[in-house]
Amino acid sequence: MKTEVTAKLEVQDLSLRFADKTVLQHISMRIPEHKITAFIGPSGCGKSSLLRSFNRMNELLEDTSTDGRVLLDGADIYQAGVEVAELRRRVGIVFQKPNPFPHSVYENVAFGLRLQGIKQPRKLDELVESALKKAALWDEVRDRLHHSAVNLSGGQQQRLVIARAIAIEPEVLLLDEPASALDPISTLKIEELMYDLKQHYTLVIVTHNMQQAARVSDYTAFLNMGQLVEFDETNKMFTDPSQRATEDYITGRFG
Amino acid sequence: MNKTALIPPIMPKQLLRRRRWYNRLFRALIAVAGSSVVLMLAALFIYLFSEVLPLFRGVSGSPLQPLAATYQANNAELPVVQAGWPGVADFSASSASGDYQLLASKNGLACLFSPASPAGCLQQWSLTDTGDTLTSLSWLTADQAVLAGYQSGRLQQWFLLADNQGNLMLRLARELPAQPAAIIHIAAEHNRRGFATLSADGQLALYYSATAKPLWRYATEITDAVDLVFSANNQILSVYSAEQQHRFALDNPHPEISWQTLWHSVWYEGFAGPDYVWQTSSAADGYQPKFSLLPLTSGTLKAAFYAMLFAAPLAIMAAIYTACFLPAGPRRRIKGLIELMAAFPTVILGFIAAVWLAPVIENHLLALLLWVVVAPLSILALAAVWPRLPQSWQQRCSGGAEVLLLMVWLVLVSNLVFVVAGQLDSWLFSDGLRLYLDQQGIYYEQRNALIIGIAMGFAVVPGIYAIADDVLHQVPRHLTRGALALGATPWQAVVRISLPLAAPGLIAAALVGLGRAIGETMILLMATGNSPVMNFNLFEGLRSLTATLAMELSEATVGSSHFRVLFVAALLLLLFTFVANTAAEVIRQRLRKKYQRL
Repeated sequence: MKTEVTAKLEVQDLSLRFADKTVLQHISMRIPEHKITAFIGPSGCGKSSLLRSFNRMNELLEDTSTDGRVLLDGADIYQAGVEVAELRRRVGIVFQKPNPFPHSVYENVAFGLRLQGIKQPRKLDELVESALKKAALWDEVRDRLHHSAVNLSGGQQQRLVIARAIAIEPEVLLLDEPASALDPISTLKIEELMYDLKQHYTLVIVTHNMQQAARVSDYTAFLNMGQLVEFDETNKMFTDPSQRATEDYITGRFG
Repeated sequence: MNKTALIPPIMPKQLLRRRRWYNRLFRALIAVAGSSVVLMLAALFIYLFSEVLPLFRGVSGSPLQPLAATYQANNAELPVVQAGWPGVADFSASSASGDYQLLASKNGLACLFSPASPAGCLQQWSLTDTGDTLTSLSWLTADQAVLAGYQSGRLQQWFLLADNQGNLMLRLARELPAQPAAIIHIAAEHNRRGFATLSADGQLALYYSATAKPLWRYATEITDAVDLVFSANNQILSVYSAEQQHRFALDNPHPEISWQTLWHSVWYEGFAGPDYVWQTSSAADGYQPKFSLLPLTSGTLKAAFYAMLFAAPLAIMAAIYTACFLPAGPRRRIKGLIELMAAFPTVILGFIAAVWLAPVIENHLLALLLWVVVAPLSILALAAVWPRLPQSWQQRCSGGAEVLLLMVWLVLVSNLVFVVAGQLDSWLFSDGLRLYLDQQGIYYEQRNALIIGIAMGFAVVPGIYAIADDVLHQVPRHLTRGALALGATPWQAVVRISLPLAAPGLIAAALVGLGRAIGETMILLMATGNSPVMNFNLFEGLRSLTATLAMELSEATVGSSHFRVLFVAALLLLLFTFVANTAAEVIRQRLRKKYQRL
């Protein structure tokens, strides 16, 4: 990895267990700032769990224990006394299945803003509009801002959820298979969107889709059986992987 | 057939036929069972209705063949005109018992006296001040009321009431709607408060004392009537003319019940004014039964209201805690425990409330009122102090143990409140809060709505909790997770996502609790005092529809007005609970559909 890249997130010897099942084993990696990092690997390899450990979403499941450290800008997010809600504001997450709130489009985007204590209508309007524009959704919903978000199409819902996440200006945006439930055109839009977002945010994406990882990401990590097998620049990973397992997976020999 | 095959390739005909037959038999059985449940419900409603309907059927009457009879006037003694009374005794009416006698002259001058002690008039006044001419005068049964008819067709009812000094006097209770012609005869029914009038144009009208509108009217050709008399069973009304007895058969089984007597305030005999009264029987024979359903309905609603005031917040907050904050294990255990409360026999709850809780609360009223304010504040205080406690403490008391700490804290605070309240009670009020309330005109009964609120609230909590916990737990996880992912605290996720989504379900839960509270009987029967008062005072008792049914159905004569009014109460109860439960079910169905769409 080149030295001029600064690490936004640094994972140090991270292990994760659900009840008595080990999900992640001694993972260490540095996630560069303002880049897109993709996690690939077969189902159940722990890539989603690793992603969720970056904003402590794993804690919502019962019986989880985490060892090791995750540093965000050099500060351990697992330290006692860390305000989890504030951490999640800085590290936003978008899930596989779009989960808009059963409110209007506008209220969905304003939700996180209101949590931050922003109340002035004019300011809210402005921020909602800019978030929807950044998520490339503004033109499609400008006339139905106050209609229910549940009636949007799947692709629109997913972009709305992204707009909702970036409205509160997170530093890192985690995307957990954001396009796997979408049609190809919506997928393309999401991918274009990720490319635009890269300038402002550090993106980490989990994907099953090898082409997608190759298309959008700058760095790729390959995980297998809870271990980090290989982590490098995407170009290198897909053309000249250093591990045999990576090559097997990328070329479709297993997984 | 292949003998080696264990299963024959084709099912034997016989087996097939038997299977088909069983199929048909059980389908029929299930259909019969299902439809008989529905039929039984329908039959229940129909039975209740059939018992109630006769109450509201109108009075019918028909003329019978007139008899030739020579009318013999009662050779009553000529009334003694009382000393000092200026009137002429044109009319004289003696009460049924003979204890009171009323003399009146045509111009309305009247004198009430008691033949037992004829020392002048008890009351001497003018019945009318409009210059009308008095044309008829009669006592109603049981010495309590007098009717006066006039030339103009006016009809007045006067009640015998005691004034402030305890002197008996007649007071004008109501002016009944005037008839077109002079009222020349008034006859009172025996043993009940009905009466009939005959006016100069031959119009017969049948009334009941508590209702202004005539129950029955009939135009006759009789203009030479000399008297109007009811038969002993009140079923035949006779109009005597000089040579004939005109008879009318009346079918009037329930004159005392009408929409007005059930739901409006009625001025009953012996009362200072119109009121809502439920008093169905007494020791005296000539007693006028009073059937206002309003005190009972309001009693039921009052008890349900206070029970809900106690139970709904507790149950819903408990549900929020278990459904939104507790992990699955403890949630399951607590849910089971609370639902076990529902199996608690209510007779024991009523017993404990009446025998133990009521006296304890009476003695520690101030402490209880203080506790209601202090306990939540003390919890908030603990929450405020919590982050400032040493880290080691916090860690030791996490994962469920903080609840134990809270319990210990609450016990400490409660003890303190009780000690302080004991001191405060004697310091603030010289004779204690209870007597102070009495002096302020706030009547305190030992068995009151406060006791009921707590005891019945306890019985209602499990029902509300179970549904509230379900609907909160069924809020789609991805939505609360979405809120948390946006930097919401768990509390914010509950308040902004779970509660608004589950709100209809919480309302449904409260409605189910309300239905339960309205239908609850035993606790109310045992711990309310059962006084049919009509107010919403927390410190006074009440009488509910359910408890009234439980107490009075066994003593009401089958087919009597009392009996049928109890059926009205039963119908009312069914209606209340049916509406509450149906509304709850409809809301829950709609919510379930909404959840599915998310």
